[in-house]
Amino acid sequence: MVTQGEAQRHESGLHLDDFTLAKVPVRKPSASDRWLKYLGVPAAALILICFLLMPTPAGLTLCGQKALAVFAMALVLWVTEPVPNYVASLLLMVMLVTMGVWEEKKVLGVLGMDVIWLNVTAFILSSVLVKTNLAKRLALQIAVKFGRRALPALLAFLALQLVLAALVPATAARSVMTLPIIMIVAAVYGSTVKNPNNFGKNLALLNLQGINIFSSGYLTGSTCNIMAAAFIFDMTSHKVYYSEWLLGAFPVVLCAMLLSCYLGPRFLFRLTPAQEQPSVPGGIDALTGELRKMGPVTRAEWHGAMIFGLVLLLWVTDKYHKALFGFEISPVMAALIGCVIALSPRIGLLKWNEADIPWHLLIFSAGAYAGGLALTESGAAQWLVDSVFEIFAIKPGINFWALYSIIIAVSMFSHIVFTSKTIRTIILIPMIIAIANRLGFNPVALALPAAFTLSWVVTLPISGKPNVLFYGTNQYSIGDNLVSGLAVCAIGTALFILAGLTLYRAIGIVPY
Amino acid sequence: MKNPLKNSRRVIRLFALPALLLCSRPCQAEQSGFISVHETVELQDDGSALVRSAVVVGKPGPGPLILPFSYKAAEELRVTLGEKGAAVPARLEEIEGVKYLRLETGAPDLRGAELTATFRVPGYLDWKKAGPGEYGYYKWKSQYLNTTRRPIDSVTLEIVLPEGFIVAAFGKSVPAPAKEEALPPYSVKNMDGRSHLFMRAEALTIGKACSLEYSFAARKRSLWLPLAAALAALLYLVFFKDLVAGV
Repeated sequence: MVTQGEAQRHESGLHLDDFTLAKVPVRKPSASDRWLKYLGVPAAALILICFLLMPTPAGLTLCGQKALAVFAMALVLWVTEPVPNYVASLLLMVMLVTMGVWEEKKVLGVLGMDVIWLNVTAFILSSVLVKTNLAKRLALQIAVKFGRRALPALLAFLALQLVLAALVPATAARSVMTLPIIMIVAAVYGSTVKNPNNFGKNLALLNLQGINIFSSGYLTGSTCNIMAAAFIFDMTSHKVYYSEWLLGAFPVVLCAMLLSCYLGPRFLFRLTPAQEQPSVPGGIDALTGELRKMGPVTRAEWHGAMIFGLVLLLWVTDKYHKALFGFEISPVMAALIGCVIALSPRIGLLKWNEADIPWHLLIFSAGAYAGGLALTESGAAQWLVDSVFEIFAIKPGINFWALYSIIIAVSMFSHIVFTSKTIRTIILIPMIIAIANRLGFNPVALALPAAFTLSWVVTLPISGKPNVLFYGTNQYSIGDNLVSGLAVCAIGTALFILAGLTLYRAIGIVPY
Repeated sequence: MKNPLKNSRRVIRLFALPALLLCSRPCQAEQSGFISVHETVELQDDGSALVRSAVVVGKPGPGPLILPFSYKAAEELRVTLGEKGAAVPARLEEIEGVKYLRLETGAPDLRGAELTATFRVPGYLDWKKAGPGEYGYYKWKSQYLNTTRRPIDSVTLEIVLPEGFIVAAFGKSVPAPAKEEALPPYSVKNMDGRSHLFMRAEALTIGKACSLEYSFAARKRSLWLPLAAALAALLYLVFFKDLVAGV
């Protein structure tokens, strides 16, 4: 029998059983959604036909052309959603194999990649936080302190991501830590898995952007930053210091995120007056009461925190592993260790049936990654980047600022066709240094600002590991992700160009 | 049980080529290496290949000049100094299965000069062996072997596919793509209606080869997939009309 209190909690959205991600939620489409669905298949077919029948461009292989055709088709299907995204991904995988683009073994092998495993383990660990009520406690604390209005609540999460980015270098780890809290706070504002609203959309997308973009604020925020700095040092002998990176990237990152936090709820996904405030009956006072009712931290919560803390400790101490253990524990293995403990009888907290794993999302990710990897392996991604540089006719005599703007824009938006930041770094940074050398410009003035954009992977659910995790919350569609991602990348591009003209001249990154 | 004789044969084969090259008489001449080699292999419909090898010589010593040769045979061999310069007497020689081109240069100072060798290699591409396999792809491997004892600073192997064919994909290459390199050592350029594959290698020492596996297919497009896609789109528009009913 359901008690009155339980019924009220269900209504308020604070009952944690409501947060199941494993089941595919059904949403009622709007009129424009219905037209998009209807025209999605013909549009995807048209794009596929055009790409297949066009003459193979110079510099592209036949497989590269087919990979582009299939990926573009899938992209249209993901955005317009005439079929569920996992169906589009499965179709993509089938077409990659049957059209001879990528070997079957490699396509199927994507499901065993570390990124997929990281997702599985992340959802198991996230289930621990939810089951023990630890996520609920943290979410309630944030909601009670900052949640009287929507904007301060969004800003509170922004501040949380800003701090976490400096402490935890793994974006996936930050996603796993904050995801359940985000889900509960979204529910406080009436946005659930089944009935998402614009507050949930803004909250999830802002956190996703915060996790990725704040990584570019610190040299140690992401492996690709360190790799880019190493390339710059190897190829130009210019050592990029932590402080130089911080001074150059952080102000732009902060401005972009504040702008995104302001523009999102006001222009892109406007909040109604009702969504501006918590929709829990009784408002913040009810939440305060709920928090009080939870009492002191329970044994289970401590237990959950310890398991999660151990994984976190392994994540943040990765560079000391070799000295301590003689080998390095990868982020996936660290998460797997946490899962082994969490799922073990007696010492664990979770039974397998309680682990909330959205398998449909993993299938979607596997297909999307297969498409992205086929683009890279067939040389199509490289060809796309080369073509963009060619279109802008980069040759001797070009104005430095024109070249600077092109390079910033290309490195910012190229993540749409790459699924790996590492590969993008390997391709872009040496290429930019080579271009600068060829044209007689200071290579650091172009490569370092371009390196600042490498973590801005916010446009598609396949652009990064956190993107896949956040997309699983059902708070936004692929189209929403695309719109907000393109907007924030455009803002970022403009800010980096502005910083080049002002700040980077002042601190000596751009000596022109 | 493993045959110990088989292993020893493998060891002998492994060291035979370098040993032969080191001991062979023509290679004893005092010559420094080659600065660059650009070898263009133009595949023909009948499976033969027209080869044009442009070699920039470092510091040749006295006596005949020895150039690397990576094929089974050569017909219509012609060597000139530069693209259209004076003809240089040349012949294909072989010692213990190792082939090379012997040039009687008449001891002019060839330092930095470019020698161009052109010849036809019959049966370079075995069409039957190459394919067509799955998806109508032909698979082949081209290689450039340094059969002299002098190092080559830089090698570019250019393979031009027969007219009407296009590169489908690249396979294994030697050298393999390096993780830290932005670009793989191979690339493709479709120009003048022909597909050109490029394979680059540096510091090719004695007996070392650079090679590239690739697949290619007929340029003509199959229409079944575009037609199927168009049909699927049409059927979708008809059977899913209810999606926009009443919008």
